[in-house]
Amino acid sequence: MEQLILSATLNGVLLGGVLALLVFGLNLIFGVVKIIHLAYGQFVMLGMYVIFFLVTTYKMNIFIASIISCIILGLLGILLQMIVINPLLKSPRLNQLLALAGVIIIFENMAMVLWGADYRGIKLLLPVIHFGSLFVRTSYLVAFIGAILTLLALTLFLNRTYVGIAIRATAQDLDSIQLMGINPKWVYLITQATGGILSGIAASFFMPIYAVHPHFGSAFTLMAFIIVILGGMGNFLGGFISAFIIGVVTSISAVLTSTEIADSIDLIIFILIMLVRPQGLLGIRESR
Amino acid sequence: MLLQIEGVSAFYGKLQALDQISITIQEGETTIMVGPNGAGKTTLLRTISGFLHPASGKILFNGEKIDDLDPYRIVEIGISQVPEGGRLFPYLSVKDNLRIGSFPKQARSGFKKSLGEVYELFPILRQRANQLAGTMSGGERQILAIARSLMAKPILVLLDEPSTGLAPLMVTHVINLANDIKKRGYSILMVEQNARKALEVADRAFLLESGRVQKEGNRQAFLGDNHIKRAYLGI
Repeated sequence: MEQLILSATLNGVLLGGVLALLVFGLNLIFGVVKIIHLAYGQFVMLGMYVIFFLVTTYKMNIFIASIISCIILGLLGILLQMIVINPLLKSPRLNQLLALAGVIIIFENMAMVLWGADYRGIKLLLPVIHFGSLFVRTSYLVAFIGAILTLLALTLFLNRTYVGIAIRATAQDLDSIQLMGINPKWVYLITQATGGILSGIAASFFMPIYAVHPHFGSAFTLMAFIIVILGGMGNFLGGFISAFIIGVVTSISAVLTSTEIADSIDLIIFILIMLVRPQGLLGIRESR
Repeated sequence: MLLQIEGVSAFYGKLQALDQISITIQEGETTIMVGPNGAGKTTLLRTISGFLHPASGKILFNGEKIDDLDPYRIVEIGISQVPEGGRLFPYLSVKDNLRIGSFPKQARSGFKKSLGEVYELFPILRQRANQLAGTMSGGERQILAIARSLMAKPILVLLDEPSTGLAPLMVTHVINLANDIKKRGYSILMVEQNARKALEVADRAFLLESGRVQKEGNRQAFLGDNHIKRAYLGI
């Protein structure tokens, strides 16, 4: 039993890495564009379908298929910004949320019509790795390492390049960046492209773990938003920590109880933390 | 004439903030704008910077019409603004604040050179290069904001109340900095509450009241005016 829980903890940490990737994308878009990207999970769903069909129908290498999926989702992020969000930038938040809820309906039904309701997964025969008496799934380990490397690359991008610094500056003061000669609309497009690529990377790492179906995104959107709010909206470090908390809690409670109950345990923990710290773990009260 | 404002009126919704403003800024000069709170001083700067577009009238920069450009374009053509309070990026380091100041294409390749010049002009910033901008004192923040505006390689620098909230010694220091910048060849339009100190470094000045230009002239004429003396210089 002890070993089961230890293994579950380890797998939870690994899952947390991929969740951290999704949460980073959401926080980036919220921090810079000031929009709550409700349809983010559907991006992941579309990305997984793209990979699935490139690999199964076109016999493409899964690595190349993943890169193509990232590019497509990056472009989709730009289109979303231009078509849906730009016209609503100055609208009340509720209108933005409704528009994005509409995007969810469009994406899910499009997937249903194009690809049907079947669960589709790629069977990769990956070994289970043993560390002494602990076992770890290779797909989780690969996902974790990939997620951490992506987060490192992203941190470098945001800290070392002109574009990255412009993105951070935009999150801090929208008026002021325009006085630096920066066009905010341009920053929004780059941010959405980055967010799209991140969802594509998450999709790539999810592909060996989960089977995709048209409603795959909803479950992850809920989980991702719980993590974002738990960490404090727009707080990168908070989101990172919360991703691991939720990953581990889900994993352990799934071993101790069942997958269904595990989800409600996540929510119970979420509600309890919200009661004590409504601004999130690292959030600042009334910061915006 | 570097900047020409001709009969500019501007509104916030239905509220008229600027009423038929006409002024000119000469190259290489420091122009001071004085006036009570709510007279439209900041609004005029925001209109020049492109955040607000005039309802009527026009703004010319080096003879070209600029009043329909977006704020980021205004910076690209050579007009930088230091907004009130500096509006630094508090979670970026001093150096990154300066780096983002050199974002416009014409300034970016010269970043290292501009950085050297700015460090020479404001040595404190070299010492503080890696500190987060938000952790500096008020005076240091204002110095950084001014330095940052120079990183874009501007021709004209707009300064909105650079001495607000500073200790008296620092006020003199910041106003003298504006004068140092002018000597380096930049043209300056400065809004300043401390009219008496600001006028010491002015070439020309104008008085804005209720969105209208009430007085305009060179420094001597301005200092000699009775209304200005009573209301703004406390003499």
